[in-house]
Amino acid sequence: METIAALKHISFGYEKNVPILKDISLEIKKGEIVGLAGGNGSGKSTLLKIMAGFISDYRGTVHIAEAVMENLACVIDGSAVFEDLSVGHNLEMITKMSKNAEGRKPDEDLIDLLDLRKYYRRKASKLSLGNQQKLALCMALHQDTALALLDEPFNGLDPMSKARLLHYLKQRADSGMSILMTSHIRGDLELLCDRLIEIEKTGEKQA
Amino acid sequence: MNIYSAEIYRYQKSFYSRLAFAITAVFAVLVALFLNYVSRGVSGEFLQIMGLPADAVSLIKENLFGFRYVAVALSATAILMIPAGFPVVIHISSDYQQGTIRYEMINSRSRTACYIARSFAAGSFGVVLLWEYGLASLLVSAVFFHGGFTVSDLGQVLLIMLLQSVVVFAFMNFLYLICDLIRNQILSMSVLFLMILLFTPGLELLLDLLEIRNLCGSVWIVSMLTVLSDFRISAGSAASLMLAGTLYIVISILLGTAKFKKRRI
Repeated sequence: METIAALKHISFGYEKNVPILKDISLEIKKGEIVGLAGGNGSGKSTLLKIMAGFISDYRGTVHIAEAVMENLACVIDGSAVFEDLSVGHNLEMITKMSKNAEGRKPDEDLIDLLDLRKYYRRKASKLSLGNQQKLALCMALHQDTALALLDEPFNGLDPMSKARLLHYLKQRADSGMSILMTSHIRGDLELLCDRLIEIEKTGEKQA
Repeated sequence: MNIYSAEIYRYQKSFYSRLAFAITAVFAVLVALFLNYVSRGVSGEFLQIMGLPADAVSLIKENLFGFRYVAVALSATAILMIPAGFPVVIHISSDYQQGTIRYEMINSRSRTACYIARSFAAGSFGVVLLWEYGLASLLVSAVFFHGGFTVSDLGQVLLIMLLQSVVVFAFMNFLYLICDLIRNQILSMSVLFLMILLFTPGLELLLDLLEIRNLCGSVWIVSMLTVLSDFRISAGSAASLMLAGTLYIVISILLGTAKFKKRRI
């Protein structure tokens, strides 16, 4: 199976001599769902940030093909929404940001699935935490996504929405989208992921 | 270009930008009412006693009509930069706080391109507000200050607006740099107020004492915002404004991108 992303010997610390990640290596294949488990502060979100290119002063190598990077989706550190815009304008803004000339459309199926359409005119700051999380997921995951980096994607979601999202992610993975996700609820990861990786402060241990 | 157009879209739709557009229109009317009162209700001697320079007094007393009023009204551009700065400060700080900056980064060709697009979008927003203010001033001048709409004055006003656009664009890029370095809404807002309301008058007073006032007008960006209101702009001062404005833009972009490239987001 084609490798979508490969990390080799990644080490990083926000402060000198205080490593958060030490010698982490992993590979993600096309259509694979990989779960990252670990306690608070173990560096799960940091690893996703390194992969997305938000942190550059790490040691080791990250290899992600340019075509995959162009179709990367990430939801990291909570629900990122433009709070002073309406839900509809948030989605339109994301479309306009696309590198593709014709524009990248958010996945209409996911918008319907998460029942967001009724909030189109509402300001994002007026949404509940769960709905903000749904909006962030809709903004990140578009139709052409090749690799999705999802940090606690089920945060704030009600059981029904969570079940729908789990089903949706499984379907997308079946059609070729790779997913690397974190969750502090191990059951969620075991339910969805093909492979689980436990991150400890001293490195990586296969579960 | 995609990030620039997305940011422009955001400035069109954002609540705070719309508020800034509304404040600008109200501000244009308030400036007209104030200048109307000062030009007709207060004697020139009194204005001089109050500390206004003779040039400013003759400007208010003799130039408040037609297109010339627009040039006089532009003397308040520095104050206009406060509502213009609000959406910029709020957008930058919330982008870092909420993490929405990441959407823009993964859709940019590089961090440098991302920074430049966002900074230029802020500059463009400032220029659009300036032109709204100019047009609103033109409308109110037709109400309060009749006559004097000559073609030669129109040319001069357009030249002044063009130069003012460069300076406002430069100021917004400079403000963007400061906000991007601070990344905190309250601190950035405080710096904006200090720059315009406290630091600039204080600096001008100091330079008056040192008798180097002209230097301040051609070096400090906030002072540059108001030097175009005398309607007697020479080719030399126009060129120096263009040059100083361009330098502010280049330096702001260079410093901003150098910092942004290394930042952990």
